[in-house]
Amino acid sequence: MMKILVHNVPDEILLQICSSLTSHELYQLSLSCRALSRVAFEVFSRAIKLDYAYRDDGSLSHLNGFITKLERRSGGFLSGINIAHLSWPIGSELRRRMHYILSILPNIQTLNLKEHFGSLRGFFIGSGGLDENLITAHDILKLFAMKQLEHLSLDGFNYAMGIEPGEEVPHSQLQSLTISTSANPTGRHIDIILARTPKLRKFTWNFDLSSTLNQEAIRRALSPAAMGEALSPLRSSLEELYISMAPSRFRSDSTSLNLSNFLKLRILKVHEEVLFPSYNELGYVVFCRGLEAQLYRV
Amino acid sequence: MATESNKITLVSNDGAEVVVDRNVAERSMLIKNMMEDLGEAAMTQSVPIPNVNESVLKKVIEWCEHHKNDPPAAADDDSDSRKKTTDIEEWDQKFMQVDQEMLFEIILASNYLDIKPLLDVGCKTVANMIKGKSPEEIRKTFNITNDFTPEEEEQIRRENEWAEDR
Repeated sequence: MMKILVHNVPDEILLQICSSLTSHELYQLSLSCRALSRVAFEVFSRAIKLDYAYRDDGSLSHLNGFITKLERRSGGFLSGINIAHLSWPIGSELRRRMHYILSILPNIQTLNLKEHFGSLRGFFIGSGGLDENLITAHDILKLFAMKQLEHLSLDGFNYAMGIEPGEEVPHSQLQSLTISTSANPTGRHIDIILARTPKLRKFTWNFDLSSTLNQEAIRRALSPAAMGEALSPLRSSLEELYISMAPSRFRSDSTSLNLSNFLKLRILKVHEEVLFPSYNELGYVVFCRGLEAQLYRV
Repeated sequence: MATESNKITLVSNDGAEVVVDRNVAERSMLIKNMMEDLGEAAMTQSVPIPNVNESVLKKVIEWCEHHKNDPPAAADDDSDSRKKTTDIEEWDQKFMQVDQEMLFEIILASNYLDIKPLLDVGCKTVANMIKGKSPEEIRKTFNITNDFTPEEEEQIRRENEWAEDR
């Protein structure tokens, strides 16, 4: 008798077969019978990631269609989403819709939001301060309320401004985090976030917005000692640390970035250079003085 | 029983003996591990393959023979990029031009014998048989009975309408 796909092949193999299919093909397969429907949805739940580039703040039609699709699928299958905003400024309507999108994605584990930095900087300088059109820290904070998030990247957003110590920032499951900031690294904003990320293993810290600060603010914000102090809540969990900043903006204040008590740190990358991949094994202490990281054997 | 020093004898579940070069048989991680466990004794004893019949075993050995000089799989061979593509080499495509029963037997055997590249080719072959087909065409291809009630089918369509777009 002819053997039938669904009754003779183990689930693990069916999942491997389905992993080669597009969402549309999985959808067609899901309509063939109950058993394959179950397998197809299992693949959805494991594999679906979505990339969405938002380009035109003046026309929300594409975004509306995107939301409609998400609503129809109940949002249950998405595990990762990338949203890139390529225009500026972010209007209040787009902001509202972004939050709605995230509210219908209960299982999302990876979220990458990327703002077009040049526009952001231009807006900052041009306006002389925050405007209601600017996505605010409070908006960003709502992202942290997604307790299932494991990977969060807020690239280009000046996330930290306006966070109050009493505000809830529940992100205890986060394993990787990317943020951009122009704020003082020892300020209460970064402390609030980093103190509540006990599982954070990978942290990327961009100081690309430093051009929006005056010289005194830059000196204070980019103090290696201040960075080290801000990072201290992560010393028992952090494995990879990436710090980037506009080189011309870096001003040494004669302090050091001492990471010697970060016992799990394997990778430190500053200014796009992986300095010591086997940091922990080699037992090195890292000091970052000015633009040049120096290495000292313990 | 092996007849030459570099050959081993595999015994299928229907009692057939298949003599094969050791390096060919060791494309199977299951056999490779067995050989390492048995040591020299493996060269003088038959190796039972209880889950695979003669015709399937010979087919699998044919694939192993052709791919005996392939480099070992990379450490990240389970990456998404490998799974996403359904490109299959020309020789493998012809190799997989068999009836469905044999195709699934090859897949099951490669899974049992732990021959990941062959399992990968088999899965891609089945995936290619699904691609571009409607639910009804999929049922016909794989001899599947539609066990949905009209209400269940409508519910799936309604909830997953987002995926109707190609």
